[in-house]
Amino acid sequence: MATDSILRPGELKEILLKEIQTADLAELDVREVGTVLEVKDGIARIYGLTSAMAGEMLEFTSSETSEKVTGQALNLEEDNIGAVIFGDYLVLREGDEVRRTGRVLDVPVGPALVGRVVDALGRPVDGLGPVHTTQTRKVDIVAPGIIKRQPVKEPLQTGIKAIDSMIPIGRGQRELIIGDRGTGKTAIAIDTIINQKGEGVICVYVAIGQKSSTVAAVVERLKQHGAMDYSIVLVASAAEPAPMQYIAPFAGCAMAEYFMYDEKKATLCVYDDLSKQAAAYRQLSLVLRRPPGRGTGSICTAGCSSGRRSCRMRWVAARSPRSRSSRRRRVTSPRTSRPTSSPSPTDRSSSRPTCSTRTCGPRSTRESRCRAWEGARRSRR
Amino acid sequence: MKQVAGRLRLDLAQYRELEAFSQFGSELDQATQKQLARGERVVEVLKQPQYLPMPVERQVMVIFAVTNGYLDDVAPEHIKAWEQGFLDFMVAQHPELGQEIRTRKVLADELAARLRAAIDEYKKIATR
Repeated sequence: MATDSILRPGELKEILLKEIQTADLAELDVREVGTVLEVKDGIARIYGLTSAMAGEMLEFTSSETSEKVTGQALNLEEDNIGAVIFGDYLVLREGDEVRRTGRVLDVPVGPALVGRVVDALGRPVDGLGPVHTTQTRKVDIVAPGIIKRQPVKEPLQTGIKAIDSMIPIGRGQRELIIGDRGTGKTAIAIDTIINQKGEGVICVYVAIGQKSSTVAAVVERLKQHGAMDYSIVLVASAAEPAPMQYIAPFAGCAMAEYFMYDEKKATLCVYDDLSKQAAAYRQLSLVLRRPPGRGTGSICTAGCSSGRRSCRMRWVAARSPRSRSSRRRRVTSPRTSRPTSSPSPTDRSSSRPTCSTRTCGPRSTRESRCRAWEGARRSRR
Repeated sequence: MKQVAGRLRLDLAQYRELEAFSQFGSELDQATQKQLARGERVVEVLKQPQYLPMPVERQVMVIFAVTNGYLDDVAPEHIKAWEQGFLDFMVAQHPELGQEIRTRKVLADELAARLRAAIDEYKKIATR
């Protein structure tokens, strides 16, 4: 009796083949899915997704509100991955579904962003409707090497007499603005942005960890002086989660890089202020269980990488008859004009970063100590 | 800019040094007093209000005037007014000078001479 109900291998194969042939694979949604093990302080531990890339964008779906939340895989461990969550992590629960997107974290870029106020993921926060752009750029890229750079030889005019005459800032350079609170670090940055009017320099002002009201006042000030016509303001306010504050400078840098690499324009990128970003990154590192003072957990690693991207590229000649086969921008530093002829978008792009930070003494010594330590470690090997 | 600013930096450095030194005694020779006066005027010229960045050609003209001693006979408290008047005068009477500084980027001897003449011209009007 029992033997009658056992399928013979021959029959089984036939049935399976039939099933496979009739199945419509195009309709199936085959994707790698993981589940959330735990969520805490903007960090999720995820089971599954064994083939996720470092820095890959992940999509969480909340089981409660079916809201979609973006995240980024940062820690790839043997049996789980640690990811930071950009957005509201309170709607996520244990067991929620996570999907890979196959893309490394990127932000929308393009001319449509000019004049807008956006958050660290490029979503508008100024109430002027959606940003219409199809292009994106990776948030984290490797800074160009020395061969591709031009020497710093053209000034970025800040419009401030004492700076332009005695300590000029060059395009392709980064400049750290340090000082006690209330001494005018932000004022220098804003004056510089205002002074870029008519110079063809695209300015990106990245406000990290500031009060929204302060940022609103800055935007208002820029509008008054007509500076929003060539500026992008990126806000990661103090109220936003640490991951947003952490990626804000990189996102702002990517938006500026679009103009530098794709439109060959000069840009000025101001990070205000980086000590808040450092605090946010330290918080992330601790929750991810990375030592906050060493290697990838250290702000020395993260902080340098955004400033290094400031440069004036040596564009390959023959792009335009006038191209001087080179160029160079700043952001962190920042500022203005090229005094002469109207800038030709084709022959230069510069990007310069500026940063202002509140306390710098301790930070710079820490950074140099770090570097010394790295060097010692290397030589020991 | 580099040409006019070199002297500016020197003036300012000397001023700072002498300023600290001069606090100990009031007996100063004439050269020292002159340097102190120059430094004071340089500091005055470098002041500017917030949200009012200055185009590079205007900066060059003002700094040229102070480093070449044209402001030595203007009282420090009148410098702000002098500077404003001077820049307005340059825009009204010699707009081509600003243009040339901007486009040529270099202050050639001939251009400097014309700038000197313009400053003299303004000083005559201003003192009247």
